Amino acid sequence: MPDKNELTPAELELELHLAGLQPAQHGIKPEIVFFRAGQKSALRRLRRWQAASSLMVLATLGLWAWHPSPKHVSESPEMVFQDHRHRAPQPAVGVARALPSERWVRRSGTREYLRLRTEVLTRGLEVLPSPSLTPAPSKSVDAVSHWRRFVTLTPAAGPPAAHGPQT
Amino acid sequence: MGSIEVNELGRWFEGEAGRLVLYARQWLDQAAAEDVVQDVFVQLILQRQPPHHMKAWLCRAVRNAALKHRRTGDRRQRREEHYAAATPSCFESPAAGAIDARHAETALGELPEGEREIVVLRIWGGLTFEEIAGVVNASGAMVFRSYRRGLEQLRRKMGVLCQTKTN
Repeated sequence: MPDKNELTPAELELELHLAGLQPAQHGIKPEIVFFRAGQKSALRRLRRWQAASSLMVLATLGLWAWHPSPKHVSESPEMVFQDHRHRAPQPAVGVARALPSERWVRRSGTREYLRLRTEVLTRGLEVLPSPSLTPAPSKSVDAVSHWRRFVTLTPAAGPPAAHGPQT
Repeated sequence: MGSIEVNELGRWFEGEAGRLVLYARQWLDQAAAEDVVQDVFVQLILQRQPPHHMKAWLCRAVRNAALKHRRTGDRRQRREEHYAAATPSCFESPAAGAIDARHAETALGELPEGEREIVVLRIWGGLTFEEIAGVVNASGAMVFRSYRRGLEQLRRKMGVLCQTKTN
């Protein structure tokens, strides 16, 4: 780095003379400087608060806009038969789903019953199959005889009960 | 308020404000230069940590602010150019000085901008060549060469007086 000693004596003397000139008086007052500094400092603090509150408002608005409102299902509920006996245990879910009824009708007997029921409801009793001639199981016969005995012994059973003792 | 002590700040203000106004006068008129220096001291007060090289920091801050002010107020400056002759002198008129203040000011004003800035920083700013190189973003050798060239031109412009004094 160049040094002051590298200047010639003439340059040094000129430098010395020029340094003898004092800068003119200025009109800056220190109290104004301090006042401005305090003003700026307070403004800076205010800006910090304003920025923080603006960020919070923006975050609130963003959350409000981003969060979707819950959807309402307008479908009419479908009645299905669910056979819970053969259904594998499943975790509980909050929303009920409409599933195809075929999935829940698994047993052939149940399916047959449902088919027959639908047929009867739509076309009448003519669709019922003719009764078979095979004898009823003994258990069923016992149940019928038990019922006849009950009807016979009941006194307030009406006209059939009146003929009971004669038989 | 930053961590700079009020007393220390007062000393810097008393010692440097006039020189900094003179430095800012390279680019601005007296009023604008005072405004710029005032703003720089406000910035200094608001600093969290005091600068390591206070004098160089002040000069650099004044330079940046003055150049920015000149860029933004270029049209206004052109409009007010004809009032420049009425602006107050940059230097105090010494009672019995070797150099006439007006004469020196005129000679200084005729220097190229880069050289004038370096001469002002060196003589009235009291900065070393290394510090000046940091302020004007140039190498130390280039700063030294510009300084010598500036002094040589000043000596030539104020030749008679300087020759009588040096001889």
